[in-house]
Amino acid sequence: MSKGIVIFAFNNEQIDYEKIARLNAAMIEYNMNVPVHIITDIGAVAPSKRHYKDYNQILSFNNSLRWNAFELSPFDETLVLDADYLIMNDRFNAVWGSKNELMLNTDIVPLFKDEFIEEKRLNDFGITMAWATAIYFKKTTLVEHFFNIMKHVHNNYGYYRQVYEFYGDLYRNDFAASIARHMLNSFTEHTMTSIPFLPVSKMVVAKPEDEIVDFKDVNHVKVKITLPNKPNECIVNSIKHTNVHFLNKKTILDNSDRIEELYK
Amino acid sequence: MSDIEKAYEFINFRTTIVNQKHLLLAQVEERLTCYLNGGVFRAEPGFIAFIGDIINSGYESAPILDVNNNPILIKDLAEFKNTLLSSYMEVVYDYWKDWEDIRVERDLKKIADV
Repeated sequence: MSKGIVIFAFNNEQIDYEKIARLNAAMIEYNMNVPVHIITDIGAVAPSKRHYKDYNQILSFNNSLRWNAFELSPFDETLVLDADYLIMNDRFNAVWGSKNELMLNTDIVPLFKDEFIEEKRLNDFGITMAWATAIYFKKTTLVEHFFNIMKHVHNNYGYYRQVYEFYGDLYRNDFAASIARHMLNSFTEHTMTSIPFLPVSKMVVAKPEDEIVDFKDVNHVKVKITLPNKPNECIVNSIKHTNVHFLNKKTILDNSDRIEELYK
Repeated sequence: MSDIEKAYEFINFRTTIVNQKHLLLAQVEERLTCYLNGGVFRAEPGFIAFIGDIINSGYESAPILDVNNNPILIKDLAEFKNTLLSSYMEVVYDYWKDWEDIRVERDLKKIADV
């Protein structure tokens, strides 16, 4: 069985997602020693617009083709990752040869301890949020249904927004994955049919205001963490051998030379 | 520097240390994962002791439930226990070492270098 990682990377006016994906691919190959397949542009869907805090601009956002991973992945076993989920250990190697055909996470850990996370549910009384940042799958019928539901949610986003009572017009893969997970769990939560978690079950997330100060060494990053509700106050911590989803794309690109140097 | 300024400086110092511990624990959380025969296991004291109990009861191999409740056949329980134990010792030793460096450090810049 072939195995590997797939990353979607669609550039916009400002952000070179392809470069972020290539940097992450180097980190993945260094830490996990598996092939990485980067999907750059299949041009099937017109991008929407969103505000990027890291650039303080409204830019194109084309993140809506994740369901194509099932068709486009060249691997029998695939781990789809967001380009900005920087891989700094080999723990995801635990997925290969798994007994499960589909795995994704519902838990995240903020960089700042006890920071309030709004998105544990789609709304205050809604279904549990599932994160499309990392999805493991094999090419089976169940998984094909999962991605078909994601596609269906995308194509009928207004309808699902009303049924699942979430806000905003911007399509999010996380919402589509959450709904697909809920539907495949027989429209229930926490039952025997639940889709299992990934081996790294809690994804560490750095919010858009947080910045990389420096890559001190391989898999060792110094980060500036903005305190919750105090935009002018921050602390500096370091994090090592831990995968981090940096929502601040600019800070990854600002440190690209150092990443290339460390992971070449 | 006034007393209240000193207090604010100390709060920032303490916040940095507490959060560094939080990030070290996130690292521990990820590194305690072990995998074998398509199953995922957590190298935790209770689980390691449980495997020890099975071995002490005379079993050399047995199916064990992984973190996703999949039954995984472990052919060599003794080797499995050693793997879990060595993972646990290595990860917690690194945590202890980093924590000792932070605990006695009074320079904010050096805490961020740990």
